[in-house]
Amino acid sequence: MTDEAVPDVAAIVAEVRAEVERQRAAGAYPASLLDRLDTGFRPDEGGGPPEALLQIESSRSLRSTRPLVGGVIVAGKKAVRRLLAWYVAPIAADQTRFNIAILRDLRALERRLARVETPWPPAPGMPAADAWAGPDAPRLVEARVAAAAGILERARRDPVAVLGAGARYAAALSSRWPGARAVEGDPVGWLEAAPQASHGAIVLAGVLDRLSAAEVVRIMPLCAAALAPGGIVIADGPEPAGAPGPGQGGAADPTLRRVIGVDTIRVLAEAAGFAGVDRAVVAAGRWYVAWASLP
Amino acid sequence: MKLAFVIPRFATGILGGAEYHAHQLAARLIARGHEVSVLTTCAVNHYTWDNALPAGADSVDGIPVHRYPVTWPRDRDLIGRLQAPLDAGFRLPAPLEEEWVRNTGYSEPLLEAIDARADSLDALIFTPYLFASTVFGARVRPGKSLIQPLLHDEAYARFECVRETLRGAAGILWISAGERDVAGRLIPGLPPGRLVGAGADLPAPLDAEAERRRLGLDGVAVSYAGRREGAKNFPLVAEVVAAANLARHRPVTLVAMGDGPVNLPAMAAPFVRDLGRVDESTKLAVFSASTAVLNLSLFESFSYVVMEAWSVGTPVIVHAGCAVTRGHCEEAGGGLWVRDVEEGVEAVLRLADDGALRRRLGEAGRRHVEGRAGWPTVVERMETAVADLLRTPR
Repeated sequence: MTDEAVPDVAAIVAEVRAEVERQRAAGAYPASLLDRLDTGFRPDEGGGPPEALLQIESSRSLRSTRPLVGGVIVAGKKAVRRLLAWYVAPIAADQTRFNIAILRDLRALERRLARVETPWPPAPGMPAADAWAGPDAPRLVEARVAAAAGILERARRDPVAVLGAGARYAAALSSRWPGARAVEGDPVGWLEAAPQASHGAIVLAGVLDRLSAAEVVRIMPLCAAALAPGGIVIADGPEPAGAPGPGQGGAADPTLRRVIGVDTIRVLAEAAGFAGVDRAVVAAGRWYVAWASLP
Repeated sequence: MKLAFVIPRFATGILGGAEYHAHQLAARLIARGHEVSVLTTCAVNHYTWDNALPAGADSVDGIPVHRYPVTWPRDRDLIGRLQAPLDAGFRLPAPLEEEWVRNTGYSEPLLEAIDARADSLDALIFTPYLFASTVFGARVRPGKSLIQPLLHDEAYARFECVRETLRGAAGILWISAGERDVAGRLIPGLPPGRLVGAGADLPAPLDAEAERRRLGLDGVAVSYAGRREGAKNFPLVAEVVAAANLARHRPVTLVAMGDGPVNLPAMAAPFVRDLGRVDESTKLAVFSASTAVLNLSLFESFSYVVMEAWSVGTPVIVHAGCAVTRGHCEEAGGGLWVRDVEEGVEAVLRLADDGALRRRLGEAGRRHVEGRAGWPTVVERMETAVADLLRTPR
């Protein structure tokens, strides 16, 4: 083939399809992941809220642009419509009632979904960040703080913001790293409001596993925006292999807690522009600490 | 020649393939000495069809424009009720199909102007096919009416009133062979047509690496330009990028450009850089800095995006189900076609990993734009087509 020839793209497409088959066979495309990614077609243009279409009218306005005969045609159609109203009107009313019932249930589902998707701050009665540790909580916090302080010591980046930490964690880290500032409340909201490139390090202390799926994918880009060049993000959480499963240890609703593994953190961090993602395991394998830095 | 383009909306800032195409053709025909004007409505928004601009004469980039008010206000309730069965794949009774079209900017004064001006013109060119200005306008003086449909396989192309108008016109100006084939399948008995195509300009060569640095793009970056909506299959583009990251663990960033709110799968959000609406030079710079430009829309009658990507030497990835864009790739050899998320991922990775292949496809696309899809060639074809079709007895 010369350089000027049209490339045989059909052959390349065939090679791509063969590669897809190989990757599928190797399990590279788990159905559960593809299902979660699948949004299908979702036209978001035009159209009003569904409430606007709730009411089924048994008749619509009649118009005619034909001169002279137009009025006769419209009058005739109106007469036919009136004669058939005894049959059509109840069907339209039934359909409207059905629409109302469906929409009411849809709205209820939306409200429930919103509750599931916004678990922060934990509702009354929900477990605290380190509740899984049970009676070992003090020792677990000490191990996590020691790991984070060691990373901060090596990175030497200020100022440091600690998000999601309980009072015990915040106090312990402040004693080892006096510049650390504990942030109470919603970490995602705080990061959204943080000035760009305003911090040297951000510690996500047991945050990731308490976020909704939508928040999990947003938090690394938000950290990257809030960090100065060379800044470092540190995240810790229950080690998937060592922690009790979601829903155990007193969690009221298993959908409100999810275990975020280091592999997921690596993908999210790299996609947000971080490099050199690394990890350590603490507390006898029950907890991980991962960190990554901006170039 | 004395020509008038009839188009439902025409003003600076309106983003749409039909508007862009009419603008390009009109300006280039004027530059070649033809007398060209545009007849249009006062509407800007194709969802409301409100009269947003003053009626009367105007000029857009040197193109004379005459605007007429929409006289059939859009009945949103009615359209809402008609749209639901259409979207679900049902046919409407013919009178309701006509009612749907009448709610797309019907202007009685525009129809009167077409009638009044037709005698002084060689031809009226109507575009695109599905709006009131074309469906009703081309019936006013069918013997002088050429239609550039910009049609693809969708419910509206099956409307009886659309078929009737297209069959009655003096001729059809096709923008792509794919469009011609789809129309021939959907609407038997069409009048003679000519393949005119559409053009793209070759920009000055861009330094892709410099653009990547300027835009801060690391690793593999693919791009998308256009309305970020379901109808353009934008969610599938986002799914491809998310799956490349999460399933194949390859860092791939999608640079999205265009209008419309970005509704993404939640898991895809971290991998998307949304630039919003950008100017032409930024768009081309992003294209040149990309491994590939993704246009997975199923509904295209031409796709300027494909030509623009090729104009900067970047290959494209299109949907196998879109005859038009796939046809471009088969003809030019400048891109690959995919059927689903996994094929999209593997196509992106193949182009990312094989720089020689990427350059070869990009160059093939650029050669295509330079030759067959260059504007001078397209305008010459347009002149010949208009003259031929008006001479052809029906």
